[in-house]
Amino acid sequence: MSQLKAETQINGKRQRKRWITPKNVPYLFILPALTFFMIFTVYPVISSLLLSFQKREGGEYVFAGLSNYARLFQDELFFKALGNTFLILLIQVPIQLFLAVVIAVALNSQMVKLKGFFRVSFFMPAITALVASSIIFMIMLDENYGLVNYLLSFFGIEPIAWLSDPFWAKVALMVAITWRWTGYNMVIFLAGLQNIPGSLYEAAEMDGAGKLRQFFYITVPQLKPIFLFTFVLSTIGTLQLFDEPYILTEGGPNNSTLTITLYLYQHGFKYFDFGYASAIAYILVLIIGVLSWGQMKLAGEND
Amino acid sequence: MKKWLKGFLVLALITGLLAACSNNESSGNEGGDGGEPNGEITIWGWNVAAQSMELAVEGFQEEYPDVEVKVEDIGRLDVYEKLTVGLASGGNGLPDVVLVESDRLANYQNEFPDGLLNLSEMGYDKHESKFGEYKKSVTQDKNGDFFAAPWDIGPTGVFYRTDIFEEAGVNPEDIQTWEDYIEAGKQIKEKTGKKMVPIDIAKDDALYRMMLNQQGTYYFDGEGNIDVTSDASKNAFNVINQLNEEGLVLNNDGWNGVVSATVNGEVATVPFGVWYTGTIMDQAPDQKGQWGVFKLPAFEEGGNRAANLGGSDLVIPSATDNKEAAYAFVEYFTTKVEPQMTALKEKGIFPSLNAAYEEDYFNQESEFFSNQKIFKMFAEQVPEIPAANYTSDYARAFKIMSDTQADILLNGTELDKALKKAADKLESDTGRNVN
Repeated sequence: MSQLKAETQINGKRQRKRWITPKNVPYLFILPALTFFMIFTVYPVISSLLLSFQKREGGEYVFAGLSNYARLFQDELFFKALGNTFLILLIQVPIQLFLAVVIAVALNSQMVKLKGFFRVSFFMPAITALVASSIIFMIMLDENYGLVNYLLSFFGIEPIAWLSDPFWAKVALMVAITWRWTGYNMVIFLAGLQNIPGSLYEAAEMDGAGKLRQFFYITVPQLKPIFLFTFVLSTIGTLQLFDEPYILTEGGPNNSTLTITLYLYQHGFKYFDFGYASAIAYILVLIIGVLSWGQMKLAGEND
Repeated sequence: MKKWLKGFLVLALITGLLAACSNNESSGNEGGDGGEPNGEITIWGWNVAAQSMELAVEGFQEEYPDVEVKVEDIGRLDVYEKLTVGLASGGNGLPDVVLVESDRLANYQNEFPDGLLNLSEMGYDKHESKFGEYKKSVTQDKNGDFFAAPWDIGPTGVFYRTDIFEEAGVNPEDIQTWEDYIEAGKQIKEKTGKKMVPIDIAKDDALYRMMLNQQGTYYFDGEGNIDVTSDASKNAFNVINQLNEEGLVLNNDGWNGVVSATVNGEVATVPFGVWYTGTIMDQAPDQKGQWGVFKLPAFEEGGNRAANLGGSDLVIPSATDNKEAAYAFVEYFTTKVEPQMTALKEKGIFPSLNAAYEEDYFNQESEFFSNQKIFKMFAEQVPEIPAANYTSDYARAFKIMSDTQADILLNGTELDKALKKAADKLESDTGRNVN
């Protein structure tokens, strides 16, 4: 380190003027990323904020004050979308994380053979093309011709309207999301599990603790930071949920699977109401901000 | 949110770049300043419609040998997305001619008043008398100027399985009103166990829209006021609701579901636009001779039985740098009989040009449809199709009414209450008045 410094000092004396100096070089390194960040993130963020105070009249955008926001707070459908999103958050995320831990623990144990195969299999959904997998779900869950209802018929179960009944559509959506993201979370948990020292388990075994006790008193507490991490990720992911309901149900039937981002999309690209769509976006930012702040605060207290 | 905005911006940027490229490309052959149109034009369309335009190029070039035509078959929704972005950015990256469905036209015309070329100024008015009332109502603006050239139209009918009707002892000619239709449905269900009609309850209110148009109204009335609480609207949902309560509706998920139900013989009838003939013949070639068509039942004895569902038209974006050539193609393609007949015979697309109906083809019997003169039946309807005011809020209204259909049929919400709710939502979203 000190050698390097000495060298550059010598170099500095030899040449009078250099555009790239050790001082500005880090900035040059981040310049490309920064440029793209400004163009593709900062600029749209600001212009959509401005857009959220405008509305379109006769082909022109005019300033409309807070009217988009005022309309939002009287919009039943917006609250329905909000409700749907939080329902998924409260039911689907815990189930998904629980499954992810269980699978991770199973795959981490000495008893399971063909570990590599199972790990790949469970992770595969996270990297498949979303459109393709959603369409396969759509075909399997079809009320009249789907594989799922066909299999259920062997057990004497009447056909279920998976995608066209308000209740079952929610279930189908949650199943599809769980299928896709459980493996992803499992890998994170697996990494966490491998950091738990084996000595803890040895000690517990000597004290006569069974496998179940070990799981609840060693594994779960040790994984706490991982739980928090995956929970934050899943929360943000759920709040931005778009692809699955877009392809699987288009938010239907009767908006029972409408999510906030899907509602935003409809207003922006189907009804050309970009002002209102931007207002929805900003409310969503606010919600994610508050939730993330809360979660970080929680994490801060624990660590 | 960021993801969405990013995607949008990238899209806008790419279209912009592409526009820059294509501008350079065509600046060399800017044609049409006096003399015959020349140069190259690009057209966006999808599926069989794009193929029909492709088929018309040869005939077009016989009249205009100096114009090169490039038809690009991109998906329907892609066309709309690119058209929206292109018009929003002042016409960047748009081709010279674009295919747009009739019910979406007003949306674009209203949002981007200067985005589409006024065809009347190019001389399209001289063709005005060649089209029916309905088609003119969707392609002309408030001042009676054409902003789109009328192309295909979707007169409706009830497609039915002759064998199932026979088995149940129902005579299709006896079905004059929707009441008769429900009665026939009950009889068919009792005798054969088949349901009467497939509906994609959650996503498509096609039957409701046909019924509205049939009664001379739509989501909005002629003045653009919200009209979903009208008697016509209530009548329509009343019939659909009754069909559902009698267990005559097969709830399908999406277009594919409806087609499967049609092909698998799970339903006795399918009310749709004329374009469905192509689908049936294509998907169920072995059911030749087992299909027939009758007009939509009326709401009262002797009432109107003509309606429209679907259809599309051609627009020219104002930003085109070769409007003479673009107009020449649009004029040829929509007002000459020959391309109409090719599209009908080859691709099953039904023309709206009156002169086409004089062709002998319309008097032919269709072997597939039990030797019925089906095209004649559809053509006869065209002059009787009532005008429809789709308005710029069509997409919104379509979504809200499909939701309302689900609300009534799946959640069992009371009809009046559901329609009132829909009207309120439309009012707060669009700022229009409720009737």
